[in-house]
Amino acid sequence: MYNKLTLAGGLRARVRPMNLNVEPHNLPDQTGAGRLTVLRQLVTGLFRYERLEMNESKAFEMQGYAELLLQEAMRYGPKHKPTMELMDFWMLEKDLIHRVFKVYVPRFARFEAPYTKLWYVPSRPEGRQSYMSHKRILMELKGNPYPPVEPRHLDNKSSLANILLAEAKRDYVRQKIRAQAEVHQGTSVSDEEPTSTGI
Amino acid sequence: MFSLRITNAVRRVQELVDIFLIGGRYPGFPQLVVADTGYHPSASSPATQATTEPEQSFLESLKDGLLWAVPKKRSSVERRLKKQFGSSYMDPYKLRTDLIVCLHCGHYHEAHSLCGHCYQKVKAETKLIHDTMDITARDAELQSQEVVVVYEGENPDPVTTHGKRIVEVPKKRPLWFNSVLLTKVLPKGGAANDQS
Repeated sequence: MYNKLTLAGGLRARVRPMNLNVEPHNLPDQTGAGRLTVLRQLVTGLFRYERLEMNESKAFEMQGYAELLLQEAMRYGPKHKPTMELMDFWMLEKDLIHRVFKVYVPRFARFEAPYTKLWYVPSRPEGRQSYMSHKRILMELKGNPYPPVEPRHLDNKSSLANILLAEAKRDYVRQKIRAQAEVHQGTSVSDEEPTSTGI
Repeated sequence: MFSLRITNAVRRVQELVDIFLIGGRYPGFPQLVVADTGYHPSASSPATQATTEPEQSFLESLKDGLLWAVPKKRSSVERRLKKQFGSSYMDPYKLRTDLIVCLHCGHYHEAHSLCGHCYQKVKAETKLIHDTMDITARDAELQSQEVVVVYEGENPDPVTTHGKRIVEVPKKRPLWFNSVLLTKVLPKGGAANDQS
């Protein structure tokens, strides 16, 4: 009814063409204006904190608007009147308009769209007994200075299974070399470290 | 037995007829007798006085729809509790098959999501940086600078941090928060106090 998310055709981020089961925030006129206010607050918060936690449905709905804002700002710059009107509408705190053009536009010149990243975070936060009914999402802008939420690379070279496998492989190669040497020269060769080691 | 039931039912119907037609509040008990003074406000005209209602047998009165719909069977305890509290009250716990173990810290988390234990650390550190840089300040000058986070005992590179706002966090850098910009040079020959 309300909720097919249709945006400008030139959007470079992937927007899910899903039917969002959202309600228009029981206003008397039922126009969905209350939801639009919520979306504006979320976009403002994302551009200030660069990292924001919200429900899944709101995140999917909001991501397109944030992407569109950044894309328009990068394409047209601060001297384009329609872009500035768009900024004025979406930024509830006006100091962030400076931030968009002075921080995000130079930063995202180095990146490819999409400029936002979504992470599912646990739907049972710390100190909460039961799971929430909605999935929770952490949305962040790329290139932020905060510690990364992405799980760091796991160095499992020194795990017991991998040590044993590496030793078995080394032993196999050593036996092969010895057998070849015996065939060619007819003499036994002392134990020798093979060149290829490890996994 | 069956005939007793029938007679009881007939008696109950008769009581209902008493209540609704005659208006007695306690059927079976002797009614208060009011002296007839000849004044009836509902039937003041003599024409209505003349048309008295004919005597109805109770079998006739059954056809007037006096009996309402009533439950035929007693509902069980489970069903009554479900009506009262909803079905989730009676549901047993369900086995979750979408939980996996984090390879870094060993805590359980949902398979689609980040590890909650590792994420809490990142969240707390992010909040600390937010508080240190006073992020809620609505200052266009402050907001229009890229931020570089510097921990205790680190010297930021003046080339890469040129024109950026340096936020100094008053603590050592956590082990898991690697710095990309600031590469640590280990002292020659000395013991490497590795922080990153």
